[in-house]
Amino acid sequence: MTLSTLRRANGPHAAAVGERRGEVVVSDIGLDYNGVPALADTDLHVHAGEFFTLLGPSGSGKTTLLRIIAGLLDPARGTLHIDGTDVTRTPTQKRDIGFVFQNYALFPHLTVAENIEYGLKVRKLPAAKRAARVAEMIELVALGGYAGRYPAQLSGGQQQRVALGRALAQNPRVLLLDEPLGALDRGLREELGAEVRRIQQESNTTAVYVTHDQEEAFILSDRMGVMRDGRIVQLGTPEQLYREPKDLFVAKFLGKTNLFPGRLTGRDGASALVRVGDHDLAARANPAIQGEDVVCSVRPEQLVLGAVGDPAQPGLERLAAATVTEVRFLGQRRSIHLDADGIACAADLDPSAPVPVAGEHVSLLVRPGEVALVAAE
Amino acid sequence: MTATDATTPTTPLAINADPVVRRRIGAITARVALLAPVVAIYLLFFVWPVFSVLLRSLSPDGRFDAAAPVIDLSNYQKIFVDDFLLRIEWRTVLLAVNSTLLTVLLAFPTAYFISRLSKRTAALLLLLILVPFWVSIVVRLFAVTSILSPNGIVNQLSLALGLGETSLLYTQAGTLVGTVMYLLPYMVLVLYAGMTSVDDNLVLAARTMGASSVRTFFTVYLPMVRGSIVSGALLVFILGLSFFLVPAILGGPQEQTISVYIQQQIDVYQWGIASAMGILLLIATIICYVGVVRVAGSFQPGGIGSAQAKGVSTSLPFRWSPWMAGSAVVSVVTIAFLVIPVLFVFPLAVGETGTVVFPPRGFTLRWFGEVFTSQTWLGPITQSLIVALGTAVLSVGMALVLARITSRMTSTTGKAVIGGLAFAPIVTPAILLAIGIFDVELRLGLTGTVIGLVFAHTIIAFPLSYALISAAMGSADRGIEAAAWTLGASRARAFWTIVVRGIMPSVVGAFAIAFVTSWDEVVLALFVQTGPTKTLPVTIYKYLESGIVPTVPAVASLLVLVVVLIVVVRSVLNRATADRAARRGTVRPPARQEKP
Repeated sequence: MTLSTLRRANGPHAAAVGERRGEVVVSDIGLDYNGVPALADTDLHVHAGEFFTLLGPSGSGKTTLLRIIAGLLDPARGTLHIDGTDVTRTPTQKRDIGFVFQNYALFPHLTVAENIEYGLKVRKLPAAKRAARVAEMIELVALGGYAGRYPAQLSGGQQQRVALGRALAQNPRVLLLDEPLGALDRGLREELGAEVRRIQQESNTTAVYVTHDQEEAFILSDRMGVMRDGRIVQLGTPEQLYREPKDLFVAKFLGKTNLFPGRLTGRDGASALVRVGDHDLAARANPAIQGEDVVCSVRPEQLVLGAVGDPAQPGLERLAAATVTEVRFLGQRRSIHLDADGIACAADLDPSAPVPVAGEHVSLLVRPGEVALVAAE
Repeated sequence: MTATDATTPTTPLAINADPVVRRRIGAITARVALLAPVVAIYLLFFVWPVFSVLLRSLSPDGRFDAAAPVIDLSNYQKIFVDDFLLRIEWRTVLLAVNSTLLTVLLAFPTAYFISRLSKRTAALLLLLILVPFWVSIVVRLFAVTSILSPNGIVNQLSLALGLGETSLLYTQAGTLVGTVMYLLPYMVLVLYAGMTSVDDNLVLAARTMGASSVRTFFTVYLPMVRGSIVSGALLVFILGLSFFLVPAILGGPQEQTISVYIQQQIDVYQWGIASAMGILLLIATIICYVGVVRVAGSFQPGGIGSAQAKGVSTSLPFRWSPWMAGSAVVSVVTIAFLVIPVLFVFPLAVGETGTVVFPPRGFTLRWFGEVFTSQTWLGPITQSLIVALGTAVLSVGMALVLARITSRMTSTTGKAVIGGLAFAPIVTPAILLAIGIFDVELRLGLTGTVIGLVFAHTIIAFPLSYALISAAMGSADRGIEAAAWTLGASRARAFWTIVVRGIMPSVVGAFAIAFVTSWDEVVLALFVQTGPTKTLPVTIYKYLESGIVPTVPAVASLLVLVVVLIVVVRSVLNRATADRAARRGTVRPPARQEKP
């Protein structure tokens, strides 16, 4: 049986072949725990077929939002639409979703095949179709030969695949994943992350993925949202979020960065002028900034070291003077730690570039426009 | 205008929240509908009985009149003044204290010895403790009466050795022997569990610091098992204090204890003093349990019987020493004391004579045939099966409902309160529960009915089922139920196919323990069954009172055989599962091979 025939067997929510489905619209959804908002009134629009990631530190409300989309938590306010239908009051059972739990929540008394089959049995598919679909899913998650095993007999990575296969078997409109790779070690995480993405693309499902690991978010997402204290702080593609953080939290949370306090001196459309210490720099404008006190965020890979007193090289602007404190070789890059007048900062250099030594005085240079501005807190 | 000002901001929120609130009310209604029968049974057959006895104890003639309620403490005054009653109370306390002391003295070396043995030997010796533990006390009492009777082996041996007449039947010593026999397995199992959880490295550490083995024992080992000793001793003291069967049968008319006295009073419908004594027992029991909780941190009735052979670690291997030899001797005595009465029923069952004698004269199996052909025994067997099955079904059902609700609770205090309330019936002295339920069922017209006995047995069986099921549900991953919901399973379906199936071994265990509790129960059944057909243990009890017929040892042998069979099969299965798991190096989910 193919995906499309199963979709037809799926009842009222069935969509035409090839049509993308699983658009999730969250409007003004809020939830309080003991009077404290766990989720401030939140709006979110996840497009059909998109891989969307909610990224944030623990306690930021990302799992709460995911569980509300799944119907495992009832929101106190707001509405939720999936494919244009209001499902705010629809119980989990009828939302036609797939959910991958952080600890996988596999049924320990059922085999791999029986786990995957469970949702199909619930939907009263005939046995032959069920068997075909289970075989298809086992193939998809690359677990051939393990169909008769019990979850306790599988490794963590294999369990994760079963959980994924089980969530996808009934071809849900939306696949919800709650830190599904959190319990695995690093190598496996990368490998399986790529696989999650592949499976999502092949099964043509919308995915909402929750994680606190930014690397995962970068690898997987079409778009992502950074959450903090029950709010989505910023939405965008991974690159947008990395290059144009909206505020200090996002700048610090995503990747490593160097922060230099400065003062906004002028604006000109997409770019802005900022004064850091004695130097004037061109930076990307940030419409979210209100006052004049700003922080310049410069990624380590954007910093270039120049000799003190040298005239500024073409295409580079001087940011500050600094002293090298430590040099570390990290394989694909060389990490230089510096002290720029009390501000600890780091620069990543190509390992083949000339190596500075600790104690050397250098000047920090940056390409104009590679400086992101956020409001000082 | 102030009123409108106040309501305006909340209105949109209320509109939004309303359907959610309605859904939540729906869930609460379903929960209440499920819980209502559980609470009703608990209130009707536990709270009301105890309360009813309390009210009766406060009225001088033992008849509480709701129209003219009086609170009169004259019954309580009498039980502390009346010479006759004081003697009964003193005898009861003396029996409980003596049997506790004797039990601890026998159980401690036994448990210590077994805990130091290799895994295989320990498992075997534990079986010899567990089989008597699971054999109905009535059966064991029957054997003991035969052994102690004037023409029993104790007296014959004593006469042959020229020690003169030694008749222990209907004496304090006989009662003590019977009570200790009943209490010993509890104490051994509690101590064994405590001793095997002691970290051997602590003992080794003390040795490395130069402590002698005697010093190590008293300063390191004993303090670590002290909790088990004290809580085990308190447990057997409580059991001994309100124990009814042994004094009733072995004590005879001269050796009345509180429980026996209560029973005799109720037989002639004298409720006043009997009720006050029942309440007194309850208060004493509660005080002791508070002690247990203080010492052990918690009260774990489910822990009994679950002792598994853990075996000695390689770090502290078994070594003979004078201490160990002494422990071994005590262990032999203890095990003989427990096993001989159980084995003794077999020779008694095969004698050809119409009176039961030892040694048996001739050999015949016709008494066994008679058990299965005469209505005398088939009736009670059927009755026992029906009641035990009913009790098991009802207990497991109630346990599932309650465990399900408590497993969803977030408040630990709430859980503790519900747990405490659920266990209250098995903490309550059986004799008090028996007269209370008898009183209530008389009013409800349930005495003599099967359902009446099922309710009574459920009250004491359900807490054990609940302990097993709630522990299993508590340790199971709660996420799997939500996972089933996300896959589209309805709440009911998810509960049955995932939650209950996942803890199936515990559900089966809960069913079995409720079944056995009802199957072996005598005291409640004695009061509540007023009809002509009694349950099996009550029938045997009646024969013990009135005189033994040759089919009694045959029935007793069959009951022992069933227990031996079950215990042996279970331990073999357990070992097979453990071996399999060990070979594979993984912990398998509960054995289940069938394919859909």
